[in-house]
Amino acid sequence: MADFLRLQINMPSIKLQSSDEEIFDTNIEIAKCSGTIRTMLEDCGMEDDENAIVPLPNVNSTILRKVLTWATYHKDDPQPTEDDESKEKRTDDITSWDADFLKVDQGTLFELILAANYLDIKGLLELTCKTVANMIKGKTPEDIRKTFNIKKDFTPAEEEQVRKENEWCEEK
Amino acid sequence: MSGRKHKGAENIENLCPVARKRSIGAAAAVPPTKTTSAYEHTSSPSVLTFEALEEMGIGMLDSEESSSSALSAIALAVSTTSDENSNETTPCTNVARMAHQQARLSLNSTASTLDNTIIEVFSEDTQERTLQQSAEKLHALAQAKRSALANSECSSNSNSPSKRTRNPLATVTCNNQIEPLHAQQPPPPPQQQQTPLSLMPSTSKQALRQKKPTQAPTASQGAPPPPQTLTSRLAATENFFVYRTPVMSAHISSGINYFDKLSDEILLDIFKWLPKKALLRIATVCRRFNRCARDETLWTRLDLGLRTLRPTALEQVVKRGVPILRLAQAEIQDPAFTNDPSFIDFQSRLQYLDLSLASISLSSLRTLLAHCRQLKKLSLEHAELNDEICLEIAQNSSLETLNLSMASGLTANSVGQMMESLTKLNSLNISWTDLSADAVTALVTHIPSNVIRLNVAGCRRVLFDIHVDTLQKRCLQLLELDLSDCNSLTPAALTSIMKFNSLEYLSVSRCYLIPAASFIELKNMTSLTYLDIFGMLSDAAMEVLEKQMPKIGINKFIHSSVGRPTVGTRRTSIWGLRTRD
Repeated sequence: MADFLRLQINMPSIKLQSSDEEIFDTNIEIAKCSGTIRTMLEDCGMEDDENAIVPLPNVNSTILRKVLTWATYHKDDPQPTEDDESKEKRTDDITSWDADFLKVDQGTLFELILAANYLDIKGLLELTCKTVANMIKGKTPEDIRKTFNIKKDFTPAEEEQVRKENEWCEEK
Repeated sequence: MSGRKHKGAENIENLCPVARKRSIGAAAAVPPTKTTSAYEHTSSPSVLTFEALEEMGIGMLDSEESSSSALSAIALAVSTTSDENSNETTPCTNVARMAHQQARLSLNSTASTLDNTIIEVFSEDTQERTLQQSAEKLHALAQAKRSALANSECSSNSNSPSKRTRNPLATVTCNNQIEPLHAQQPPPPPQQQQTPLSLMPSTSKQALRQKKPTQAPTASQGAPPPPQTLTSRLAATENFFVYRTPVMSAHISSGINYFDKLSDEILLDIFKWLPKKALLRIATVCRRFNRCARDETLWTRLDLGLRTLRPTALEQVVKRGVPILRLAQAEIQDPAFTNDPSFIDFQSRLQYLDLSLASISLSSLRTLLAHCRQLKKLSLEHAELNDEICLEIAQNSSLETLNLSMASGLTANSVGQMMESLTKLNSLNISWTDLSADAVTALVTHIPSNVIRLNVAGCRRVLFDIHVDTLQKRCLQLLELDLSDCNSLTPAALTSIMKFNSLEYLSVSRCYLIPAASFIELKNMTSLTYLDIFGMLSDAAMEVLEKQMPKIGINKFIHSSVGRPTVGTRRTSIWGLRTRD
């Protein structure tokens, strides 16, 4: 079923089980892009056990399939550095493959964020968060509320207060 | 104003390589900004189960998920319709749950075929991502599922709330595009006249057909007896009209707020990619955005250089907990601070503050500095100061770099106080501050002994040889010394200067009382790498001197970089620290 994920015949693989109990036979190196899976394998000594099943109760098969597709494509990426501070915060550096990969509905996109967070896949979390940030950027508050179905829960007085507190600069 | 412009142009070439080398080294020590979030909580590996998702009606591209989304859409639809029935006593949540379960049961038979069609509809739709379209998708899905539901219900004889007969006036529609379809639909099979489809007032099915003529038939084929009942019923009701309460339309138009599923920690992971301007804008979206957009982890660096700050904006900036703040050439409108009692004891996290050439009132500057106790580097170039402000500066005992170049209002008292208190100071630029002779005396007698870079240029008639001698005895480690335009100095000052063992850079430009020949003695200073003596020598004399001192670079830097936050063309960093994300 998920054989396309086994890039090399002889690579050791592990079985990942989604919340809806689908089994994904996955190349171990690809699975290890997830910090959560990596820790599980190391802590439980499951690495040598071909038949071990790693349960992922927080990820359903649809999302897990997408996550593994992403991980397979990015398997040779260098590990993202921890040093957040020195890095410039760019959101315009999303590759076209990633952009295509994330042409999904909002529900899927947010599910991917949750999965990337749960599975501790930094690259995917960064990518998905950047994508949502790009959806927010340049929109008016009203547009943002419309796009994401957010309810304005301010009282009029609060709203006025918040608006005042966030108008810092004269617009050029 | 022209002074400002001029300043900018000047700075391009004024960085001494020695200073550059060292300042880079110093800059490598990034401030220990606090990165833990106040909103972090342990729920980050979210406990979002499949069931929970189903409850919430998350739509997916996959067959199973799309059916769950459709189920929820049905639940939603049922809840809205029951809502609107004034006689309805069942709480709508229960209705929704029941419908949900019911749909789940009855759909089992048709799910496999139906799902395929949904995927088709969906995959084409995913290219379009506007809200309207996604809402339409939802309706389309709901409609398709309803057909299946209705169909299976015919045989299941269940007690679904959807079977309740309804007032025809309560018919709800999402749009009015039904007219063209009336003629197209074949007359309904008689036994389906009584089917519970009265609960499905939405005509989004028709909307779908109109927009996607090729897709819609496929969708209806998915559910074997096609849902003509609805359209036929509508066709029968000639006086069809829209009846929509505000509550209902809210249900219909509002989909799911997926941000509700994210922890604050993840929300911050998204917000951290937003520019500051966007962070300010999103604060007015909703309470949660407002709270999270203020998180100090998002405000580690801020560049408001050249901006005009509205009254009280500076208080908001300080409240955000910004440690690295550039306000160079900013115009800060009064009042910069409110009288908010909760702010009085507030201690800012400011560590690196650049107010070079900023326009700020004395009282605002004093209030700002009164909240600063952790400053490491401060630039008040060209600022108007007074004793009270200097007292506030003096209380930042970790201050390492202070740039007061061209500032006004310094007195012997305030200079002495700062020099006594700022024991960590290692770079001081107090050039062209119109110091009195007493102030210069206070400076050299109290200057912290760990100062390695000092610019006291421009003390035309107040800085004498004796001051240089005192300075030499206090600051033995001095690397950089700018005494340009201190034109009361005589060759005796050079004798004191030559006692500095580590001095690498010296400027005595335009110190006209020092004869050219005296400079040759400086070749004996082994540490000296650069010597600036602008305006002192003729070209011929310069040639001679250069031959005498082959290892020393002469007249390489027009201006000093001591203590300055920005040098050269690098305007987005202060003291080597980025001010922009």
